[in-house]
Amino acid sequence: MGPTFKKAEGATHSPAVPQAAPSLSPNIPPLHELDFNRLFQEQAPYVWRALRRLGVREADCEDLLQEVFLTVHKRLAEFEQRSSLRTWVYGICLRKALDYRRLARISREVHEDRAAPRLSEPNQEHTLEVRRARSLLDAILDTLDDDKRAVFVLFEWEGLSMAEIAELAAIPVQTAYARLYAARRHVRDALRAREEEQP
Amino acid sequence: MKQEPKRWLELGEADERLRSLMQVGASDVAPPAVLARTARRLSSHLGVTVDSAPHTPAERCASDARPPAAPAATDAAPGFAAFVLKSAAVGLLLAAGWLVAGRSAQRPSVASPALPARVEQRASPAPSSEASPRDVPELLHATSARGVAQATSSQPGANAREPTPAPKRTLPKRRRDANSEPSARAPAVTSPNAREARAEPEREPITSLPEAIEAEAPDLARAAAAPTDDGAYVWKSTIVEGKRLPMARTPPSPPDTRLEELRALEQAQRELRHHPSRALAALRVHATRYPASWLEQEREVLVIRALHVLRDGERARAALRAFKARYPESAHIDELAQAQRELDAP
Repeated sequence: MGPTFKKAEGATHSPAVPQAAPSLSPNIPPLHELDFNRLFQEQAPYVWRALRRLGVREADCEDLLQEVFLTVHKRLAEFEQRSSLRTWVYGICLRKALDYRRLARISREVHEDRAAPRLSEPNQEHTLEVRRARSLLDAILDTLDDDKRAVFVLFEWEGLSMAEIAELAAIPVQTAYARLYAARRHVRDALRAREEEQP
Repeated sequence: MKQEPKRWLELGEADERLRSLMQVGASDVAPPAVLARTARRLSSHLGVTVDSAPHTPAERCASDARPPAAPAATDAAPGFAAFVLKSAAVGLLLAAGWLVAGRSAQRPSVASPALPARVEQRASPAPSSEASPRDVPELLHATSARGVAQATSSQPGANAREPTPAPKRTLPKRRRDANSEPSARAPAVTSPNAREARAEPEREPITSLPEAIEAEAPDLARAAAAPTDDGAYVWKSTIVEGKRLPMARTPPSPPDTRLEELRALEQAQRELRHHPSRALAALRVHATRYPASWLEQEREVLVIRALHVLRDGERARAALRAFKARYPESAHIDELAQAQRELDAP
């Protein structure tokens, strides 16, 4: 049973007739002021990170990043400003990542797709260490199911609040908390187990 | 309201190994090269300006989803103030650029030997709407540069935007010679007065704006050009609004949604057996979103199947009849024969 994420990006609206929702708060800028370019500059680096942590291979991350922002551009007029723009973008990012994993049947075992560092590279030891740590992190995250992984990634790294995550995932807040705690337990146990394997 | 737990990254007393692992994850943001490539691809695909710029997490936290408020802006409209400031800056830059271009246009021409022939070709009798979209940026640049240069010139009657006939100008010989020489940036959209004053070769007045300008920015095009009594267009500067000049480019092609269409249909297919109502709802959304889908037949087949699973025989039969009428040679007809037999069975 896959995760149950609702189509918060406007599944009930036809993209052929984009409707600009009236601004609910005077503090939120109207839609015409939302600058797609600025949005890309601000969010793209972190959307990329979220995609990576959500299980998208590095080789495919660039394409997924482009897909996310194509969807953002397409749906910007439908953005209802019920949540922050950032949360909304992460919602699209999350669905893209889940679709990618579900439909492409991607199963990643080892993260060795990064190019090996050159011998002349400065701080080579540090680079290698970071690379190993990332591989370890991704390997641990891969053992999480998609539900828990999404909550864990969005909360721990992307800084979304539990209420925002619950809204994105269309689950009660208590369920989101339960998934977060379960994911934390899992990550901690997995890390401990690996340390015991390779002291 | 339940208090949120602290993030692991913020926990000082957390396991050192765990915290360093989390920090490694946090530092893994997109490389600048990837962002630049994606920005280029988005620009070309969407037809909007997208560029990547390095952003630190601090900048990002400060901006969140709202545009940064200008210091002098009121709380009610911080975004508007920022927009006005940005527009003014862009306007100033454009004005400076045009001024420089205008001065360079007044210098003696050092055109390459091939250029006069090209100008000759343009000046040759041809339909007035011959300006091709490819030429538009160049033409716009030339006309704008000339307009600004003339506006800043101290010569009386040098302004090409004057609607009244300009008096005979007595320019210094060097400048007159320079103007009378055919230039690589000869404007197609020009004033008849300016043409007369410069004694350029006879050319047909432009009686309509290039389609590319009309299509690209109709508001700007209307504001920038107004027909004179004889039907020719006089170009007016557009820098007053601080907007960029419309650039000629082909309209962006619609994004390829085939993969999305396929995925949506696969989702409906998965729901079909156990949740036919959900499948129907998904198919309805699909039909609304992609009315002319490349998977239209497959969608209709799934609708028939869903109705069949729901035991809504009447609608299923109607849908089947409609499908056969619409796609008499479809490859799915055989596949649906079984469903029809079951529907027809008592």
